[in-house]
Amino acid sequence: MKNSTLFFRSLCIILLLAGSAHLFAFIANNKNQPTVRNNKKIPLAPTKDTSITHIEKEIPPNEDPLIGFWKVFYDSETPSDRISIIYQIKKEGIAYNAYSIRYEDESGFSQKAEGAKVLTIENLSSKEGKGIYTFTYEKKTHKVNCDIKIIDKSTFQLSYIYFGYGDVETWKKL
Amino acid sequence: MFDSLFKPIPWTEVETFFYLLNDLSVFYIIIPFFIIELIRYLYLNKLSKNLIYDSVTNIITVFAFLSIEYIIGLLFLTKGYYWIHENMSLAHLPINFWTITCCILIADFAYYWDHRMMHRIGIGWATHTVHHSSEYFNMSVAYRFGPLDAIFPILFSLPIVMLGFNPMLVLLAEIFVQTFQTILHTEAIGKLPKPIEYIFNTPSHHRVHHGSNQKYWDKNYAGILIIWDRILGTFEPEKEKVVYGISTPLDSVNPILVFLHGIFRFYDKIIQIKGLTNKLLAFIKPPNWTPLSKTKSDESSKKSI
Repeated sequence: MKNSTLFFRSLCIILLLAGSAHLFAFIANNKNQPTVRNNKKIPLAPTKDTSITHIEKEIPPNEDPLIGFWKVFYDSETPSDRISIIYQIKKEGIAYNAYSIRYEDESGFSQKAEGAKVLTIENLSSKEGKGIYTFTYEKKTHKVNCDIKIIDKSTFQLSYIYFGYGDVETWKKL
Repeated sequence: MFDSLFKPIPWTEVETFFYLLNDLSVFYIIIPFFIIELIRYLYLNKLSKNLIYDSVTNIITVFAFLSIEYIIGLLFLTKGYYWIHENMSLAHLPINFWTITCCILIADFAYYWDHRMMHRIGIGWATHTVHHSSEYFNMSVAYRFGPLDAIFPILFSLPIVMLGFNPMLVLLAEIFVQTFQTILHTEAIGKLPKPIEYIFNTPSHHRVHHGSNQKYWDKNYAGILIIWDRILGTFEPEKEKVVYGISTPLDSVNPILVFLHGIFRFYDKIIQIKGLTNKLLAFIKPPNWTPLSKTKSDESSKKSI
């Protein structure tokens, strides 16, 4: 068989397999997925929550410093609307995944979150990392690449830019 | 139904799936089947000391191979794969049933070309000849590896990572292909039903690959799917009785000699070749190539050893 025939047949096979994987990934990505949050004005139920101390007790000692519960504050135009969200980061296989656990407002009221996956960190060194950040805007779920900057053992910054809109979140460990 | 094809699968489930197929298959397929093969040899009055020693040698070579693989993994593979995935890859593909299937098929196709290259270039055959040097054909032969057998697959798996597949998934898919290949090393199973023989690599097809009969040279490189050989012109069905081994037999069950004999023979060949260019060409030219060889038929891998 000619080398050129071998080359083109091989190329066709690779394009078929890799192409179909990418095509269906693209289609699946565009479908509505049961994710996420980041609606920063969330109606909170008037139930005072005391589960944070409970959460703290659940963190096993001597574990990977990234694994555990983290809190992020989201500013609003009016200070009274400032809320925070508690996430839980778990290591699942090779990746770290963050799930929303609970919403809190300034007055201490809180509400259980959907448990949606909002962040996947696949690549992380001691200083920085990269991940995929998922958020919902106008009822559409968006996934964007984000950068992780480790500040110290209990703080990291997550930054992303999406169609000209950028944001930096500071994640504080509980 | 289609939704389930594209539904994200948690990595823990993927790991469990491959753990069952790759790691545990040693206990529920390979070892029990090898015992059946030994009983079969006994029944056919073919069980000899040499066969036992040959099998033990095969197992020893796999530990040497795994040591090299482990060192390469620590030094290069893990970090290198992830660096390529982050910096030189197409859009990262999600983990779902469809992408896992595509990854296994591409890993299988990469295996075909890796295998073909190991037969068709001098340095490839120098290491892969170890696998073909046994005069027996049983499950233990699948574990008979050469010293560089862990290196060549990297050349073919890195491009898969560049296509956007998760590096760990690529590695697990490659091991799955290798595991499937392992269970093909048997004389105890004849031909399977035609549709299976047409699509999948089977013990019959792989016996042909291990044959030293001239018509079987450099045929049936496939891992899981024999259709790659059919598409790329290297398929040969099992018709005449297969004679296993290489044309210049090793006649030894010494594990060190078995593991390194291909490299020793290649070294001897390089020493005899004159001129630096020719010496370098011997690495990438077919195994039987010499500066004087002219015809393609003289360059088949099995003939060179």
